[in-house]
Amino acid sequence: MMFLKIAWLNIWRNKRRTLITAASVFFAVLLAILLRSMTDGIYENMIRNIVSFSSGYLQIHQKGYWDEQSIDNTFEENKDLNKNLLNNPDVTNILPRLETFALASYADKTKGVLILGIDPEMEKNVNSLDEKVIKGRYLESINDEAVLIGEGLATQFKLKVRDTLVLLGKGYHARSAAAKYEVKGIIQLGSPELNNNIVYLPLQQAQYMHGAENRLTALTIVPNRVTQLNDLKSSILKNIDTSRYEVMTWKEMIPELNQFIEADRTGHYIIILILYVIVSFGLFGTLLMMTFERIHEFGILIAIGMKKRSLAFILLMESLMISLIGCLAGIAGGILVVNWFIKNPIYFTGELKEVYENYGIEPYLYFSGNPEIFIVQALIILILSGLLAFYPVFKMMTLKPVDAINS
Amino acid sequence: MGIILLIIPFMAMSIFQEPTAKEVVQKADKNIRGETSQAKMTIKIIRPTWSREMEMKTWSKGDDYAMILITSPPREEGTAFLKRKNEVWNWVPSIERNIKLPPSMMSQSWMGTDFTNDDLVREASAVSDYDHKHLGKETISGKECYKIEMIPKPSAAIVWEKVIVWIDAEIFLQLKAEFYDEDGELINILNSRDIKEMGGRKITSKLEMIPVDEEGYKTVIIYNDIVFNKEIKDEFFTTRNMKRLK
Repeated sequence: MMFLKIAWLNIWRNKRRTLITAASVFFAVLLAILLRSMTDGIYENMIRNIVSFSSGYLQIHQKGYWDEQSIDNTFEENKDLNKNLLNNPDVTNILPRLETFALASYADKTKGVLILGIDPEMEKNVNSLDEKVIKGRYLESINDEAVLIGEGLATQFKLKVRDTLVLLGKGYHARSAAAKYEVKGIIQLGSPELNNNIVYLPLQQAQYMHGAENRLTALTIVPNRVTQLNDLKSSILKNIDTSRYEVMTWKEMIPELNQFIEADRTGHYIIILILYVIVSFGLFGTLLMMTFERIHEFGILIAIGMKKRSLAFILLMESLMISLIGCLAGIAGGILVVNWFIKNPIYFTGELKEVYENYGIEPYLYFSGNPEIFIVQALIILILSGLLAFYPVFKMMTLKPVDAINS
Repeated sequence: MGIILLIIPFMAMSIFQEPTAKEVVQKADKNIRGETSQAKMTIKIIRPTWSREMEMKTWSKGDDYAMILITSPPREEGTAFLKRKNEVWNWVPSIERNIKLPPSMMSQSWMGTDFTNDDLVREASAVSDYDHKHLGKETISGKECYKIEMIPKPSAAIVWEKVIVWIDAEIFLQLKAEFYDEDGELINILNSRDIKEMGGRKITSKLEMIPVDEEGYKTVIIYNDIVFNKEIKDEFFTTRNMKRLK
């Protein structure tokens, strides 16, 4: 206890030295936090943009649906299942969907499309799908006899609002699935793949067209938080009949997006690793200075009977205290800066905006407020500075008092 | 004397000689084909967890013309298929469209059954598009059959590498066929059963198509009624007539 007090007094004996060292830790933590928060923010934005309009973060299917995505592997809408899911505190909403592939035809053109049977009301409330309509109007109810089509698809077909689109696919249990619908609106989605292929159909119409009354290919689960999906998945699995249903996260359903992020993240790890190295050298420099400045003092202390081991311990405590001050300040500063950017995301303009839009992502630079980032980054820097503090300790243990006093 | 000795074995050969493989196939083909035919059939799709039944009417004339009309269930009622020479048309009443099936769709499932579009409107002739070879005799459900290997001629547009057929040696009806793909693997088995007298002929009234690698899959066609050689005009087989069929 006494050592701690001595260490505390020691670090404030030379305020400027302490503040400089603490500041170098502070900036290291702040930089690491900002870098991670920014890259994670970009990924989260990308995931949100792509995932919400395709599979959603989490989906429930009939068991075996994902391996054989056929309309025959659908399940019946089930009130008990819905209630069960909504009872989970981490689930905010569920969206029923019927997803199939079919041929769409207009005039003399025919093309394979993705048909997504949706509940227009719910998609409006959850995904603000109605805001993506650029021409015409949004669907009214699950029974509206009309479709919304992707802007890319409309361009390929040279089709306008109020034209009639013919759909031809495979129905439930070998039934025929053929229907024609008026195009009520044209919708612009970020992802080019969706934009060029999607046909939104009100759920009941989709079910009727496929002869699959009351059947769904998936229930999309809207989670409270998007970070703890695996935990949510296992808590859902505990409460449903796993012999009938399967639960999948977007990472399992859109592995290419996840792989892209993982690959990109590896690149960022290298950058952050370089950051750690630079930070370490900076810290090391200050520690070295601190030790050499006081070598005369150490020599005298040992000469008058101070134990080397105790002195080394005090030195270690000093370094750790300084790092801790720097880290806490870094977290506080990080929270302030990140929060400001979360509230005021940077809006891209010009070329960068186009690049983002081509990838199907909103042209905003978002920051991630995931608390994990703050804790992990501060801890890494703290551990680094802890390790570096062993240099003065080592120097202390090998110190020759006579040389030190004469230095 | 010497001449007679030479002639007797020759005569004996021609009297007792088995019909050639081609002749057997030709006879069997003639037995189920008429100049024209009109039939009513039931088609059953059987899957491990569900099954489905459809009723249809068919008309055919020679090798060139055929028409199929689905009469039940109500969802598909009025759907019609027309074969004219090498074109296939599909009339879908719910979208009021007549679709010409592209060649790429010919090998796809017909109405969700285990038959392909091509099976239904087969362009190939069992007689002239294949080379035939005897593989001996075998017994199928108590009847003696010729087992014949049929290899498609290079010029014929046939997806199979070979087809093996079993043809009843007495009444010349095909009782079984096995279809092999280009890797020599057995893909489909077609069983023909329930020999009945219909339309003045003996025919196998129940056909079963079994895809080998799909456990529990089967499609059954049952002939309820068939009339042979009743005249049908060529004008019957038009895209315009498809929409009016009853």
